[in-house]
Amino acid sequence: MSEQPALTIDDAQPQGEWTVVAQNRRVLKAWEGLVEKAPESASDCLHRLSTKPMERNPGRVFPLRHKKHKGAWEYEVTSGDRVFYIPDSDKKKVVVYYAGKHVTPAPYPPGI
Amino acid sequence: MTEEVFQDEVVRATDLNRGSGEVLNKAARGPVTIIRNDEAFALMRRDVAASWRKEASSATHLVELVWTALSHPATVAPEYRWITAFDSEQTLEMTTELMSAYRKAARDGRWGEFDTLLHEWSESGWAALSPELQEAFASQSDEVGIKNPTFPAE
Repeated sequence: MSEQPALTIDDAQPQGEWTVVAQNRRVLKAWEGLVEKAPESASDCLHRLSTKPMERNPGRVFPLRHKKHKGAWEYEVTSGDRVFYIPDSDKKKVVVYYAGKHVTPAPYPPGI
Repeated sequence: MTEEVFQDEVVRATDLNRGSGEVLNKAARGPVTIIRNDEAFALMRRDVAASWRKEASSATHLVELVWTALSHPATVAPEYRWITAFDSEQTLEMTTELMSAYRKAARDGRWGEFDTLLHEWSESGWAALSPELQEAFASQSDEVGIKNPTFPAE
């Protein structure tokens, strides 16, 4: 069985009008984990974030509906992985806040 | 016996045996009821049956959602817990959108938009309930650029 070619990160920013950044190094590390896990899907995601982050792809790329997340978007990288980001159309910048597994809710507090 | 059942054409089973081709041609245009003694069968195109099935299951799902939205959070089934993330204003917004999409889909038989809306609302609900995501959005900013992943040439 042949080995998969090693993945590398080049120094170039993704080609597109938008700058894509991670909120902090923790998010960057999570993003890199996603790249390792699903390189092509992550690459597609990055390409989309750098070119058309505010274009809805129904069911896959969409603005979050809850009022506390107004302005935030979800990208379904794979069936089990998500990226959450906020695009700023004035600055042409996308800030990624989360990259990783589908989020889970908190357990119900006792007494409810 | 020529009474209409469910507004479709009625055919005896013996007629089906004698002229199945003609009966199938009728069924291609609309549902046909086949009568055998006291039994009644429906013959229709497979895609028509699938569409009716989808309409029924979507209606059931919609009713479940509305009922859940009206229920106490502690009684909500785990798979519907995402609904509890929304207040009454947003719950009304959601059900209005879904109802509109349901009516449209029931008319034109295309369920993609209804399914998509349901998916996006549920994903948004789960996101709103996630402490991990809440922490992520509130985290301190220390921005760092995200670079291209590349694959070495083979």
